[in-house]
Amino acid sequence: MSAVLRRSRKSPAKDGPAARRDIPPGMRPPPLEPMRNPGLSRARLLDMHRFLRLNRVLEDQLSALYRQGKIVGGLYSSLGQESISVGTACALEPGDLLAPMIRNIGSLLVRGVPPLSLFLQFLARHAAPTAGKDGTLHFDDPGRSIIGPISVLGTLIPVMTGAALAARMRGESRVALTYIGDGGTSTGDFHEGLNLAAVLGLPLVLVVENNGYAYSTPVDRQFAVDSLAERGPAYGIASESVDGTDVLAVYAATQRAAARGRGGGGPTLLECRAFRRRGHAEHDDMWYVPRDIVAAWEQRDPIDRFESFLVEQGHATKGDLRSVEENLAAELDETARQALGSPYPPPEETLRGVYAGGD
Amino acid sequence: MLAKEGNRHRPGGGGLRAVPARAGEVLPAPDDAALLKMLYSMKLTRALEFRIERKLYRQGKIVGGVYVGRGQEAISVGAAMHIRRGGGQDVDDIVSPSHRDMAVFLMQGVSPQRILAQYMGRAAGLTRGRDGNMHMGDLRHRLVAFISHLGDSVPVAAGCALTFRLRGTDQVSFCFFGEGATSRGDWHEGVNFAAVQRLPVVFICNNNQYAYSTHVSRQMRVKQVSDRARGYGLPGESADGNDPFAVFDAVGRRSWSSSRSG
Repeated sequence: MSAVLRRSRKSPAKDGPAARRDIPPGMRPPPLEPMRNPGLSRARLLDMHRFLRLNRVLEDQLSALYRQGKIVGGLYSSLGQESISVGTACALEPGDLLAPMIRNIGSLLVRGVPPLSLFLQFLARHAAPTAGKDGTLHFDDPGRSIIGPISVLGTLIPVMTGAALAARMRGESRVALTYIGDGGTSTGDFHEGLNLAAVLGLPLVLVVENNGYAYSTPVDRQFAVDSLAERGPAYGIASESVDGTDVLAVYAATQRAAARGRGGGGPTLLECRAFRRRGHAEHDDMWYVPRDIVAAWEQRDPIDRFESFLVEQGHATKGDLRSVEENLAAELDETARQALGSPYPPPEETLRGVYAGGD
Repeated sequence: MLAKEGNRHRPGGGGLRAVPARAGEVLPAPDDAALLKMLYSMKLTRALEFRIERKLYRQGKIVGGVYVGRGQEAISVGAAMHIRRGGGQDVDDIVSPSHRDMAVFLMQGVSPQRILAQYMGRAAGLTRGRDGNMHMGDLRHRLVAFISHLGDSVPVAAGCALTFRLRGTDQVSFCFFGEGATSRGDWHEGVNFAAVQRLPVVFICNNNQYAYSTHVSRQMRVKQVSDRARGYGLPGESADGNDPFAVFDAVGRRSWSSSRSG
C-alpha cells in the first residue's frame, strides 16, 4: 500500500501528458460562456467585487498567519470558489437563513461578519465568536440569521431542512440556504435531509460546490453521474448546474432558487462547478492532483473574470479595481495586527457555555 | 434498480437460471417446470405465512412480531427465479431479502420446518432461538441475514458484490427493500457506492405504498422509486409487482444484462 502511495506521489510532476489523459470530463472547466448582468446596478456590482476581493485578501493573510504558526487548527481555502460564497449570499434576503460550510468565509462577509471577528476566531482569541474555544468557521450568529457549520459533512442539510420547516410553521417567508461539497453528497445525511425537504416542499436551497476533489477523492470516484444536477429529478425537485466561477451566473441561479422556494415550489439543488485550487486544508500539498487541471482552472479565476467584465462593461477601470485590492490589503493588515494584540481566553472560560442557561 | 408497480400484464420473454448466463446471451422463455415452480413458491409462501400469522400468532406461540408479504409474493418469487444456486461458492449468487420476502428463503432452500422453528424461538430455527421472525439468514443458502435497520442491507449487498468483482466471478448480489427504506441514508450511501464501483448488484424495491403508517406520497416526491436510479447514473425500471411475469422479465433483464456482464 505504502509503495503504491509513494509511486503515485511522484507521478503528477513526472508524467504531465499521462496525467492529462487521466482528467475525467467532469473535472474539466465547463464551456466558457460570457458573463451576463442579471439586472444589477453598478453600485451592487462593485459591492460584489469588493466582497470577492475581501474574501481573497483575507484568506491570503490567514494563510500567511498559518505559516507563521499563529492559526489554531485548520485553515480551508476557498481560492477560486469565492464567487460561489459571494454570489449565493448576495442573492438572499437579509432574513433568509444561511448556513456556511468551511469554504464559505465570503458568505459570512456578505452577511456583515467583520473581518476582525474572523481573524480573532482563527487566532483563537477571547474576543472571538467562540471565545477562543473553537477555530475555523465553527460559529453561528443568530442576529445575522447565520447557522453555524457542522464538521461532519452533510449533517447541516437536515438541520437546514428543519430550519426551513420551522420558518414555514411560523408563517415566515424565509428561505434556508446551505452548502455541501461534491464529497458530502455521498453521505446519508445529504439524502435524508434533501428527501425530507422535497417531500415537505420546503424552501431549501442546497448549493453543491463541486470542486473536483473531496480531500483526495476525485469526483469520478465519488458519483457515477456527469453532473450533480442529475440528482434533482431523483428527489422530484428542481435542479440546475452553473459555472461556479461566474459570480453573476451563481447569483442569478440562487435568486431563481430562492424565488421558487418562497413561492412554494420546494427545494432546489444548485450545482456550482469550480475547482479546489489549494489542498483540502493548508497542511495538504495535494500531490494527488494533476497539475494541468489546476492550471486549466487558474485560467478561470472568478475574480479575474469578474474584473474583466467590469472593465469591459465600463463599470470600473483597472486602476479602480487595483486600488480596491490595495486598500483592502492595508485595512486587513491593520485588522490582523489588532487581532494579534488581543488576549487568549482565560482558563475559566473553558467552563462557560458548557450547560444551557449558564453564562 | 427496480421498483414494482404500474400495470403491465405480459407473460414470457424471461428465462431460467439453470444455466449460467454469458454476456449478451438471449434469455430463454420459462418452461412449464419453471411456471409450476413459480406458482408453487407463491402458494407455499402464502400458506406458510397464513399458518404463522392467522394460527400460531393468535395462539400465542410466536415469539416477537410477524411481518407478512401477502399480495407481494410475486415480487419475491419473480425476482428469486433469477438467483443462481446449486453451483458452489464461486458460482452461486447472494441475496439480501427484506422482511416481506419469505419466498426467497424458501426458494433458497430453507425448509418450512426451520422457518416455523425460527418464529417459535426453537433451537431448530435459523438463529437457534436467539432471534425471532424474519431476522434470519444462512450463508449456506447464500442468504444474508435481514438487518432490522431498514436500508442497512443495501451497503452490505454492495459489499458482497464488491467481493465478486475482486474475485473476478460473474456472480450477482440481489438486494430487496421497501419504499420506506429508500429514504434512509444507508440506502443512499450503498446505492451510490455500487454505482461508482459499477458493482454487480440488482436492487429490488418492494413498493407496497406504506412504510408502517407513512404513505409513499409522504415518503418521496418522485412518482416511482425507479426515478431515483437516474440520480446515481444507474438504469432503473418499474414493473407491476402483482404480475410475476413482469417481475421475472424485469429482474431477468437486469441480472442477465447489466449486472452479470459488468
